[in-house]
Amino acid sequence: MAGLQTNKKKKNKLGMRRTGFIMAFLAPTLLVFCVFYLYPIVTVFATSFCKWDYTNITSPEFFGFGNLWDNYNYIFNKYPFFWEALRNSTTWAILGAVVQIPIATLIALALSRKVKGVKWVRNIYIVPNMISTAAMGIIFLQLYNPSYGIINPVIRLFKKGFSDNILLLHGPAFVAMTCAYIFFTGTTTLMILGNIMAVPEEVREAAMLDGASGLKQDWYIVIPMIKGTLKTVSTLAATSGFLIYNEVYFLTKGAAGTYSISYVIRELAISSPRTQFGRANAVAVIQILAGMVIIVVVNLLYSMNLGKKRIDR
Amino acid sequence: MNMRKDKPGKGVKNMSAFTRIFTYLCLAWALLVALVPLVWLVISSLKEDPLARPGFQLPESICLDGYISTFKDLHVLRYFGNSLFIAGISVIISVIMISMSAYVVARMEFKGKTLVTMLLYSTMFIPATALTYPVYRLVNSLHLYDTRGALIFVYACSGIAVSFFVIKNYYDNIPRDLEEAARIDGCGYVQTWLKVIFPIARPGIMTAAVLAFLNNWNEYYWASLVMITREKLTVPALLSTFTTAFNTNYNGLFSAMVVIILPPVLLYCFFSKFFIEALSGGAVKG
Amino acid sequence: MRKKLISILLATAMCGSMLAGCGSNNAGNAVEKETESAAETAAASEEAPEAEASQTGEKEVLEFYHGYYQDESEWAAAQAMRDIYDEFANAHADGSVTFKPIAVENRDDIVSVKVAGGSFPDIVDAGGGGVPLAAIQQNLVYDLKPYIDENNLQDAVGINYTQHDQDGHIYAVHDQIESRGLWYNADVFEKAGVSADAFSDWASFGEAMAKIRELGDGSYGYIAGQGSSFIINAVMASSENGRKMLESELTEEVINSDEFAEAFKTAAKLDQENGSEHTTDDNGNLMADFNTNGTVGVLFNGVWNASGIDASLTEAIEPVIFPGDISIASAGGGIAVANGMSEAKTELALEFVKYMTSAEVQEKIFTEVQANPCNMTLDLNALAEGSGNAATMKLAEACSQVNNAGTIVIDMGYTWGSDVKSAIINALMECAVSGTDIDARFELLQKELVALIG
Repeated sequence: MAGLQTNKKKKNKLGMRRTGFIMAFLAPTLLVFCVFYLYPIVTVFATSFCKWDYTNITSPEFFGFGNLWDNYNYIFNKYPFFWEALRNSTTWAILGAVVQIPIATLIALALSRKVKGVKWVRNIYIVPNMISTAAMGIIFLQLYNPSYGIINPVIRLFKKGFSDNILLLHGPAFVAMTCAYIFFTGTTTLMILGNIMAVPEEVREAAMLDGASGLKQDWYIVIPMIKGTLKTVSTLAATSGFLIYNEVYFLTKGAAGTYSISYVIRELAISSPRTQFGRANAVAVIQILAGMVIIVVVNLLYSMNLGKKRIDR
Repeated sequence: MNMRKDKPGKGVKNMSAFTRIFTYLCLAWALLVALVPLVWLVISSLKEDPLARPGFQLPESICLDGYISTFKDLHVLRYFGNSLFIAGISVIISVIMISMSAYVVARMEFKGKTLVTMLLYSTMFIPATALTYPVYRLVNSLHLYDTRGALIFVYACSGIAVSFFVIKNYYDNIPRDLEEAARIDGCGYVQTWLKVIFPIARPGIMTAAVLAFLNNWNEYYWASLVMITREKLTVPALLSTFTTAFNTNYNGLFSAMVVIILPPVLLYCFFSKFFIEALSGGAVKG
Repeated sequence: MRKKLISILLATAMCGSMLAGCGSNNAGNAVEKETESAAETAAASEEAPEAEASQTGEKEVLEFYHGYYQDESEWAAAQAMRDIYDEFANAHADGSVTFKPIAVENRDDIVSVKVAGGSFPDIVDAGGGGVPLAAIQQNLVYDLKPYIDENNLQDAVGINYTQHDQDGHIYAVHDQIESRGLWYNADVFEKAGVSADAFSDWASFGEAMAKIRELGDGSYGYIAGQGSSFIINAVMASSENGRKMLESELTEEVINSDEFAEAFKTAAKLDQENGSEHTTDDNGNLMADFNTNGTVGVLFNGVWNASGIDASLTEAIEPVIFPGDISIASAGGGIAVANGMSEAKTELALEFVKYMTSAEVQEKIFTEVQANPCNMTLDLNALAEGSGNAATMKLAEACSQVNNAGTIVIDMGYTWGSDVKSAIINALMECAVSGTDIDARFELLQKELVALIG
């Protein structure tokens, strides 16, 4: 009996210490979260159900339960750019995971091979990632300029007499904006490369004996082993694709169907002289929810795939 | 020993022709993508009027006016000092903070864990416009307005989601046996983290630190909102100096852009070993 | 052996840095907690500092935010404006209130954040941005009209007096008027075989542009997009009804009016013929083609463009106003003063408004800043001749053309809102792409605008 009690006591003591440890380690982050984010998050959710614009900027006014969804109603049914923005942002999120990550992985695989000059390529490849997206926007605005840029002459090789501004064409404008950021995967590539290099040599050797070498080895051995990292970078890429703002601002200002969710929010809250905070926050709620969906979906996709691999084995 | 060093199966000789060609294609693509904007930028910055001789045409004569005025009139070095100081300090604060909480979330079970994770992730999607007013007010009431402390505060607090995400995922990959071994050796929780986990996770933490640093280095919105005195501004503010509603000085603008990316690039050249190690989670040696 | 040594060294260094990191972190926590409680007390007594200052007999500070932050080497006009402000500060250095001009880069963001928190800068030069409606609605902005009437400053503030009149209140006075007409290159016109008669109406304007395109030497008609949005403004101003619509808020009636449809379609048709490769949301992107290269017939830009013209082209480039004897002049934003400041501060702020519109300062704004001054009593031509500067003379010519136009209207961006204007510009730019169905795009624009004002 006595022994059991001391044991329990010990456990309790251990539990206390554990709780203390958890609290202590979480505290700074949670404090920052509360000070910096909690109030904004609560405000965003609460005021998305309020009339809040230039007429009552310091005192948002609850719509009441009858008109609870007024802001959302406006955003979904009246505001002309919302669906376009949601479609674009979602597309960019998907492209981030579906285009950016495979490109980054292929380059990382190439960089993992011992070829001459590989270090040079690796070092040069991250440089564009050190330039801010704002500066990149200005650079690409020049490259896309129809009179002195470098894109129109290239198009003219295939389509004689082409002289339009591609940033004003529905469709091409979206592609042009996507190209302005999607290929710069330097940091992502490095994160993947790191993981590839960490694949134990023994595994590769075993694969060699099984006759898997080169690309085959990459596909069957390496890729499954770096799945964790791929999941991380996919989520990051999809997220940043969903939040694109600078490219819209610098390249098109939303012309030719290129609005993004972040751009719409800023347009409503800041650019509009009628300062539509309430409506902007309704869009912000959608942005937060959609963001969570992205994280969940990427997680699901990767765990699904992983499950399949296990069965294969 | 030597055998292990040049890893078999990775050398050129062992590759099939297809794999080799494919590898070279990928590398060529990487070079092309990275160099086109960079080379264009550098060439343009050397032209007196970049728009008169557009594209990749070489300049008629090399014009360094933009560079000269950037250095002479705009006190670039001062801005660099500010940026380095602010970005550096804020990264150290945020990364240490996050590596602590991420460890707890990755390894321990406790009530409300899902909630904490959800809340932290959701911060990734809060629009800056929603943050603007509350944070501005906070900065004011902390009496930090127009001080470097304001930016350090803002940078240390923002971007916690990405750091959290990267670091937590790194912890997830560390085998649990290590901690158990440490625990059996009589280490407490703090000690285990400090002596065993932190050193192992250091590469992952460095990855997050470098990502955060690059972000802070290029951040402009907050920098121009909470800082007023020109002497305290950070590097990205330089860019806006060159574009006015009335005229755009492209030679100056492009020169300033080259100057802005140069220090990180130089730093990167000197410390490429460190950068690569950090971003790749320690597995690649520069 | 060496490797081992290095690894030991590394390990020690790492442990050291870790400990240091931990130490600083704990300290950081403590500081954070402290500052938090400090924040609470500070928040509780937010209004206190000002009162305290006057009690202790300290000098009050009148903060003045403006957007002229550029270095002199980048934009000389910014330095000229700062000199004007500093002079005022020095002249009142001995007073009970210190005048402190502050140059900021994103003035509009700073103002809107303050307004969202229920405060307003002591004085701000809102420039072309305009004073936020929200600030006026909250009664944060001082009504300048009584002061202007009392001191007979009507002529000194010029167009501000009528354009900024909101139900009998004036919340801002802009020391310079955003005055717009066109600039054209007479050499290009001559080569294409057209004369300045092209500016008699929009049809002949279109024909002239076509002739310039036919030159085939890389010359083109005009820079469209942001610039040609002023065609809409000008066409609307050509009818009595349209003028009224421009001067009032945008309503559904206006959006569905024939005047608006005609104005938009006129501009869109011209833009489409002109080509999307010459279309931009920012004139600055292509301006060098006109001001330096001389390959463009017409530039839609304000009078201030006089100072941007390359010396080799000063002979060829001339200002002109819109077809139908129409010009666009807007007070836009300007200097706005906060409500509810101490008497001494308000007095100095009003003194500053008077100073900025005085003949002496207005002369400087004309000759040094190279902008159209608001003060109506100045003889610009005489001033320009006195300066002997070619650019100033061009500026004087442009200003007097704008000021003496038969019809002077406001830029629709100020009455209808910048979001409306950017939607219009986006629609216009998309129409510039060859083959775009202008009628269909206009219908879409109508829907967008109705939603924006809803």
